[in-house]
Amino acid sequence: MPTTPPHPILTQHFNNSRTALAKIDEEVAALRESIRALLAFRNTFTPAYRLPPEVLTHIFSYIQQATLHFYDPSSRNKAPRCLRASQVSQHWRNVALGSPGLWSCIYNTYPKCILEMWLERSKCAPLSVELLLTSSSDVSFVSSSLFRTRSLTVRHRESTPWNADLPDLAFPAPLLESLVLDADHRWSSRSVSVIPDNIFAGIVPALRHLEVAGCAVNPNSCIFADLTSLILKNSNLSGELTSTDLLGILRRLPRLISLVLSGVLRSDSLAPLNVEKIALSSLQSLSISGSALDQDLGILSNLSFPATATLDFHSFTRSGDVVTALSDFLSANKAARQPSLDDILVDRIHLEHFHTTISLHMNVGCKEPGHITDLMKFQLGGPWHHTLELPDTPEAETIISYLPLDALRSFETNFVLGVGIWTNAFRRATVLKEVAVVGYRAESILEAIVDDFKPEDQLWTNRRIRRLQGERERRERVVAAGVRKKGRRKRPGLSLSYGIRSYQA
Amino acid sequence: MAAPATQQIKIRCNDEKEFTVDRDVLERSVLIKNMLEDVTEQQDAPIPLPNVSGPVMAKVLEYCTHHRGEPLPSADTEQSQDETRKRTTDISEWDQKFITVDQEMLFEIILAANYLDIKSLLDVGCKTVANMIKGKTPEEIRKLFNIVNDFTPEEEAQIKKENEWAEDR
Repeated sequence: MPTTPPHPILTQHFNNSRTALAKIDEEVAALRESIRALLAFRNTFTPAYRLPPEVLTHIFSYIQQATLHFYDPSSRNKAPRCLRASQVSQHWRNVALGSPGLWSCIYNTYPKCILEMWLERSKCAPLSVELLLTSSSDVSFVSSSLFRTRSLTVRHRESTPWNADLPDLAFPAPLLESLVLDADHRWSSRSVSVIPDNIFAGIVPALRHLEVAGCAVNPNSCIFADLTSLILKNSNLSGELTSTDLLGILRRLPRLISLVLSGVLRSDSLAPLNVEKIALSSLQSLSISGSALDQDLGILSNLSFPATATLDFHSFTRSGDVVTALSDFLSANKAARQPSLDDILVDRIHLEHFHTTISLHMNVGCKEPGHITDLMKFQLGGPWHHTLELPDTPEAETIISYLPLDALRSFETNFVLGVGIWTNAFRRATVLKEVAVVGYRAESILEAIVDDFKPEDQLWTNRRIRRLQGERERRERVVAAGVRKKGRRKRPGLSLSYGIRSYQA
Repeated sequence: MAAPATQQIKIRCNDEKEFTVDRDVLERSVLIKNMLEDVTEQQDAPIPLPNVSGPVMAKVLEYCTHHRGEPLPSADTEQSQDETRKRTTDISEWDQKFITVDQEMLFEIILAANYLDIKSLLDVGCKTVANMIKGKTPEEIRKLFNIVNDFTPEEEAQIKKENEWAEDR
């Protein structure tokens, strides 16, 4: 049925209404904008708005670091919560969006739209990029960002190796200072990720920090040049790295300050002898660990470094072997003005059930412990920060009786020998500053200590100990312990801090 | 030749309040340090500091006196700190106590530290504000600093989109 057009008077009426509505809407919008402008003007009178943009940016960068710290890159399709301060007001948002550095930490696990937004907001700022490689991950954005990437971390946790070419990394990285390549998938022995030869097209002049884990490395790669910090871990999985290769790499790095080698050598790869020692004259810290004692010592004996450098030598073989081998090594080097055993003091003893892990610290003249049977070989003590951790083993009592506890400053245990042993031990530990006892008898041990010592003042009554628990949150170095008492499942660990020093035995 | 450490310097704040302070204390401020280095002859006239009031300067001097003798941060150390991204918001116990002031004074101290170029004090102030903001929602932050929401509808829509993908923490 055909519709009849509305009467002209009605049409005019409708038109007038539409015009009126549009006019009113326009006015409302203008009023809203006026209110918004007024609110923005109001904000300018608050104390917080007095801060200039550069100071506000400084504050935001602290918040941003904290936000990123909690971001879990493995939570796919999620991004760290966008800086909340950028969502407070227009001025704060303008400051945040005008600070490219706040948007310069990029993870490839971000949703695409967020990733693009962050890249855009970071403008030309140097980037810190973290890639989690999976079979489905898209890292194509890297190729166009490498020119301004300052720090790059590539992690690979799949059982198959990463794409051998890593085509997105085949571009120059002129600003790159820190590189982490981590393919440490130990559970897969079938295949190994390989660092491509054409990585960064050979152009990576600013690289100073390199960490490689679980990858096959080419000793001639451009990434081994002018480094000051090198960490190589489990690269023996490649089955390629020989002692000669490793020494070849180190020879190219005379400016090294820090070197960490962990399980890097093939077990049948012996270091060459009678070659010119590699001089690492800037070295400040060297850490070698692995299960191939001979290989590790072989590398050590080919290096020459300052006696003030810190050496951490961890071996998972019988500790007695380590001590003997190191003793021989150090004696042999004495003539060459290398640190000798006499220069070493105990810094830390950590005893496990079957093996002893030893940390040797060669700087500031300290001494070295060994396996329980080797302890007598070494002179213990000295003005050093000593930490002693003891597990529940029968050897512990002997160790305590032997150790010169007058130098002990920090003590932690979880074992439950008689209270008398502890009180005897603490009586000798005159400079002890911090004690943590973990375990169900912790409370009675600590209370016995206090009772036994009969302190000169009343500071260390039981009440005082408990009050210290209340202060625990503010004491970073206090160790938490689970203690059952009066039906409560868990309580914070009892701890004595900064007080025992004044005790008279 | 370097001036003796005990030399006393006069400063005048914008409210005419004057302080006489040991030179090494004042030299925690890079601004004043540069001023003093530029002046070759000893002058009795106080150094005018038109952007700082007396009460705020008193607080700043309390900080500088406590930290006198400590090494000033160099450009290198700042750069390496930024590079290694080890910028934490931890504040030492004394500094924490020192900076426990009302909001208005806190911002005044930050402004003074920025003007006088005292990097370590500026850091303490900024970290304190960052710690106040951390973990709060935008609405809570507004309430804390007496700020009101002045976003346009378009900006509100953009913020909503940003939050859609945010990790819930």
